[in-house]
Amino acid sequence: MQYSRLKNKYAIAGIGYTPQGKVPGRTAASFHAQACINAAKDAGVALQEVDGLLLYRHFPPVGEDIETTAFTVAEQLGIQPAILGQEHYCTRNGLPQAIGLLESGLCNYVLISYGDNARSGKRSFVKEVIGEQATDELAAYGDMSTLAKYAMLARRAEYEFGTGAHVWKEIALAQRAWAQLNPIAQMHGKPLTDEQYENERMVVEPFRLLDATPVSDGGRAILLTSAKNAHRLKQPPVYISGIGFANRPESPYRHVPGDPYSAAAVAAKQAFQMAGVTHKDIDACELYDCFTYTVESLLVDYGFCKANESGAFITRGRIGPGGALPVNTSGGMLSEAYFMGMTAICEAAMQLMGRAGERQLGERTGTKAPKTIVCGDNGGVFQSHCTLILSGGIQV
Amino acid sequence: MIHIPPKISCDTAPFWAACNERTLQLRQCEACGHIYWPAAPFCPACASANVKWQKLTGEGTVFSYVVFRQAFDARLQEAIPYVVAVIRLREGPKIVSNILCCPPEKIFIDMPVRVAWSEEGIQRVPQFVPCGTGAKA
Ligand SMILES: [Zn+2]
Repeated sequence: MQYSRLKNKYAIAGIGYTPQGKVPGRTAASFHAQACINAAKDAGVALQEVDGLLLYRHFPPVGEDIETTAFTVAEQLGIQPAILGQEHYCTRNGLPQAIGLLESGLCNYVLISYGDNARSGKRSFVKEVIGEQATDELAAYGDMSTLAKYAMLARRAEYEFGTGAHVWKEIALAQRAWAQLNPIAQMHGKPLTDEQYENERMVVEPFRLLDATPVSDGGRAILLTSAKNAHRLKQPPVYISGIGFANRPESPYRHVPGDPYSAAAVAAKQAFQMAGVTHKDIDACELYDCFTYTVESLLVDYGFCKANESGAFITRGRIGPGGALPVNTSGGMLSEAYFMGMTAICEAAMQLMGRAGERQLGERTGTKAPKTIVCGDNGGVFQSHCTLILSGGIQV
Repeated sequence: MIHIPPKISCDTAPFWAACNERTLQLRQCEACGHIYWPAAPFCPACASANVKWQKLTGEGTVFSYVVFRQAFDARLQEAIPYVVAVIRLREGPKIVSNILCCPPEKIFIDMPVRVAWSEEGIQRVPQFVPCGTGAKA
């Protein structure tokens, strides 16, 4: 691979959190700004040194809020970065752009940020209708929401591979168990039982409400820089050992579950190849989990298990606390907080820095201390994917 | 049942105009034969601009389906529960539509279906009903 030479050349040097969950009275931009301030402070980098600022997907404002743009956030931060960017539609460009900017020398410190007031603003993830007006053809069939598109693929996977609620329940319960070890998780203090999952109401069959991630107020940011710079900073660097990208832009109804050329499968293959690791080297997975089925689909696409073996492989005993393959150790989006790909990436970095508190992998959770974690960031409906293999505790 | 008119673009207008005449037609590429939906002026398989409108049989099978138990728009409340499906048409392409005249629990993947047309009044929409002997008893 042409870019394999970039292995361990760049690192996550800082992580920025904000208050999260239900945090009323805040603009989305303010969450971006706070996350960025905290990520820079975490790394020990002055904000004025940040020369790249890239924001996750732009959402339309909710409630009393105004537009969030890269200009607004940079203005609130009081910085004048050489490069500003903001994703318009879930294409997962932040990391490749950041690495390109660092590699070219255009930037030295790049912040990637997410912020939203989705929970207080009651953000709807229905985009087929805005107000009274349809925005596309699907509204005429009542095909509303991103959830329904994932549910459609999940139903097909049920038919082809025998998956279903028995597998998705394991994912929901395992991640909820992780959230009990994470005091800032939205579902901390709210353990989930088999009965609760089974009795949950159906939203769009085959999905129950508990198969879907709740939305959150809050923000997250990471600071990326060269490994060389990262060594001089405050936190132990988390190296980007492998990275892969792929897009399958076609509409979700044209996708087929188990496709060996899915965006996630292609991206993961690149990332594993670049990092020079195999599945046996992976200490944990931090995967995009907009829905329970998304986690299953990514574990299959990444090659951890075969599509028709997910029932035997994906158990709370394996992926939950103390399990052999910990998955979404913060609780993930399903049980910690919805910050798109940043929920997973920040958690992987925290684990590799050894800062994950009660849920820290290692002695505390009865597993080995993590050195290598794979992260998956998914956009659209399995349409865009970035796989990251992150390493900590190594000498570069 | 569902009374939300689709947003129609200049690419899709002939599709929807034909629907009002109870005709299901999709774009077909004259260069490579690819039939596709939604309509676009260039063939996604070979990039040819030589694409025509092709009438289809309106027969197909259920590729996948979901059952809406929650209304995401007030206008859909009375339609609950309703079924949105991906239909694999006999000619090859997959389209999104509804399945009517069949209780959700009787629907199954690969069920044979044929097009039926929504009522006159607003934009007619192609929807599908079970057909043939494949239906589960
Ligand atoms: Zn063609």
